[in-house]
Amino acid sequence: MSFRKLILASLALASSQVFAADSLGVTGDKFRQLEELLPTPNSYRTASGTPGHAYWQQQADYKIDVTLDDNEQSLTGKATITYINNSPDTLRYLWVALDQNRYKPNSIQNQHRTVSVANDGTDKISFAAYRRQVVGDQFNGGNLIKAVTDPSGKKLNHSIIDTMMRIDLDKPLKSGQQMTFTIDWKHMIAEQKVLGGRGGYEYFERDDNYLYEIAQWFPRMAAYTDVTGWNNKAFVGRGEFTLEFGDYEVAITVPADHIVAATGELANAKDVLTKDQRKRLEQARKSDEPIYIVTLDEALKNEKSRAKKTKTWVYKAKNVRDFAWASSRKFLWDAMGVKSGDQTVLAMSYYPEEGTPLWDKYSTRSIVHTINHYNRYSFDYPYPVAISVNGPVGGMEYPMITFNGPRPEIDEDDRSNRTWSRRTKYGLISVIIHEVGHIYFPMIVNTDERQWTWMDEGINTYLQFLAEQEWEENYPSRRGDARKIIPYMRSSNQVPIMTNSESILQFGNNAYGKPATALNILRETIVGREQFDFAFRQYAEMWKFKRPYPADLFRLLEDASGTDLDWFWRGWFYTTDNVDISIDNVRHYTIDTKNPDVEGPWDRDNHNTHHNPKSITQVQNKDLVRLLDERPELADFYNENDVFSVTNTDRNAYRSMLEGLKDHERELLESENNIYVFDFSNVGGLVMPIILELNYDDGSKELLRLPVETWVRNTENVSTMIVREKGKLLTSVTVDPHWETADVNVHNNHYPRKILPSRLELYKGKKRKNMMKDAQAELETSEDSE
Amino acid sequence: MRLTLLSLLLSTLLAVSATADAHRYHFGHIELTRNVNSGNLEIVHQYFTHDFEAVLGSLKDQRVSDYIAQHVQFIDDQGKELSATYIGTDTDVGNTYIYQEVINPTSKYVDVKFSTLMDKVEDQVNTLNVVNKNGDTVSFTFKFSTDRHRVTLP
Repeated sequence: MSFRKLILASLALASSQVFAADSLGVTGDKFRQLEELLPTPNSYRTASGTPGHAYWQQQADYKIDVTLDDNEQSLTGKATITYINNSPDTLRYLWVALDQNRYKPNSIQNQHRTVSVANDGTDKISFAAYRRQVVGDQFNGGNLIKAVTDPSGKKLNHSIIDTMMRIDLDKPLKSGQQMTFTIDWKHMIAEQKVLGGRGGYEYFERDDNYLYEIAQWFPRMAAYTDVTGWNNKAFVGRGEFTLEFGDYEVAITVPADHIVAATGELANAKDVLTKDQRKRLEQARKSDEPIYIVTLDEALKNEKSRAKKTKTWVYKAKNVRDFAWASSRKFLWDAMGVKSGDQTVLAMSYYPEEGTPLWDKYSTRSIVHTINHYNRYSFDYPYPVAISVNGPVGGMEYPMITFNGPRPEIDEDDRSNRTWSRRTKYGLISVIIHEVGHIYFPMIVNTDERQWTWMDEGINTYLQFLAEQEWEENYPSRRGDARKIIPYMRSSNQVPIMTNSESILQFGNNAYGKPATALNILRETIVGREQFDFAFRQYAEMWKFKRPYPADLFRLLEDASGTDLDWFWRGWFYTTDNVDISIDNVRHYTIDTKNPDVEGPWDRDNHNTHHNPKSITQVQNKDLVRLLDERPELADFYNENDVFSVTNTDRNAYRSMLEGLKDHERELLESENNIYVFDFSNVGGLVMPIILELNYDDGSKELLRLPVETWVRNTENVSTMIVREKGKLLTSVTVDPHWETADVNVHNNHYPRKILPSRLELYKGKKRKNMMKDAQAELETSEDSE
Repeated sequence: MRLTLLSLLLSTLLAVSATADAHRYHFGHIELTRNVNSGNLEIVHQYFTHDFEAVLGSLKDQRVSDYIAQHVQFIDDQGKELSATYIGTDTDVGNTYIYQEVINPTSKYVDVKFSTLMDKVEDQVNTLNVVNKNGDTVSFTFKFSTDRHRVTLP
């Protein structure tokens, strides 16, 4: 680091600094407020990000009878929908979502898929892609709408456009009015493991049984909102759902030996459960560990049964935005109670014996853990049950019920021999936390998934990270920590987070990882835990059972935390810039006292030490005998005084200068502080607070956090100054020592620059770790080791 | 023309359609740098362990090395395949890092094939970042349909 004197100058000189001609280029746009990008606040949505005084949303109540055909894997249903128009508008038609239509051979989803056939002469296609196309073309999927009728039985005119159905009304539905109509339909259930999707059946060859996870199965009212009007964008695959809240009563008729798990509370337990099962459920409610409602032995017995008769399970759910269920004769079932506010929630798991013993151990416990921690960060879980079902779907969420995939490995020669890898164990816990977390976001904080995947996935992944870290120390979370997102952030092939769900290039990083990391950075680095947790809880409380959009989140978190975050939303959500802050130089100064008797010797010493190395001739002439050595009488004044020598003229000038100064100016002149000026450049583009670790020669360390506003006048290059007392000598400076900002290049984070070993060199340098090998190695005796 | 059907390992187990699954990553990453001291090309792969184990089962060195050799290739400006030495694999529950090295390549550019994990999931998107000496990064996107790019060496 360079070492120089700092000259204290009068104000007149300071104000003469030059402003750049290109003011926009210097100040940049990075701190510009977001108003121009966000929709104008109105009486429905306030400028503070809360629901406005005239906020409204529609309501849709459903009464459904559905029958599962276990022989041909189909559903036949009749849904009576009561639609309440709370909007200020008159509606002339209603839109209904028929998501099963995505399985029609000519659906947008089936046909929009761009095929991945390389055109470089290799002409290859995957078996899976080809099979899906062939099976998809053959599968007789989609909703068969048999009738749409009003309560008098009169047919209502309707047309189907891909996954959406428009019902034309004879008489417009005015604001405040409601109407009831009935839809009769049938659809074939897709084999999930072949055709994919968020529901479907799984076939078990060993015992010739089916397990059904039933979702997006009934005609659901499309959302009508103050922001988008009718949300009738077809279901293309990624953009999930946007729905209205309502009350449900669903009667599910299945083979009599099936167990049904569903959104809501069982209304007719006496008709479908044995006395024992009802008793166990009551025990489970008070238990602090999972209790079996259906045991392994009972489930294995059920597997062999083939009921000819049926049973009807009636479930009721209040204030939910969707309804899903699962049914099989294979299910084990366990449950335990968990306190949530004033109520006890039943946490329950349903799984085939293929899920044991991993599911018994972790599933219900993971639900309880999620509720305990999500309640802290958002609001008390408001529903009576929370369910995790094991079936074909890898991970998917619905109100009160989630589908989760991971299972242990089964040795087919000895089915009791079951093992699982670490990734299966933590994968299961994580997926359950994630999917149960989704019951809060977006099943209660009802964001528009069809437009903005990140609003539920990003927020939920953020809370998942917090909950995981409270499971055990060093829980292997895969997302949330800033350093995990660095390779993605460094890449230039990104799209911004504010991209529609269907158009995202790298889904996992874009819609889950980056927004989750951004929120975690807000909490840990920008706003601070206490204030961010307060602001986030405000968001969750204000918008539960309502429908926020991105602008509401951006506005509310800023409003409640008292921190200007427009720069953060702009940088992290609207651009693909990354964080790369370089510390380019550290300059060390002390004050020029202007006292010639101090400064003269200092100047001489500084000149000789730093600016005047001996020339090669001087070095070679070291032992030369000169004329002046032999004839000292040739010396005069100039041989005794160099240019740094102090004269009385200098001393007189100093004295008169001191007399002209004010007392406080004289004091500053005599301070012997160390002054450091740090020069930073913003290589990555994202402005962020500058976090510095300062190391001093006395061995002490200091953490210094400069606010993001450091960049407010120049977003490319800034210099800041610190003053430390006389003895505090800085030896090195590190930017972002805890890797909390996702800085993509740590090489320029050190001053003086460090030669950091590459990842590969680090790897070569460390001992290989292979736990399995280590565990298998024989214990060495002392003789062996000699 | 004839179309070749390729097996995606375990493809039937991994849903073909996007779901809200917490485990969807489908992100592979290579960072290409030149070691300033040795002049060697350092190749650091990063995958999510979950994805990678799903293809390979246990991550034994031989298996990883063979798999990477099959899916990642560097052809120099003379049309010759550069020999990328397998150095090792470093894995934790979250990430798997694989290290390779090419001794002092003189080629101006390489044609890279980077199809890791594309035999498992079709929507696998791989990114290759060339990090130049001054820290500048150039990104290349590899997908099932376009798993090759010409890349100027750092």
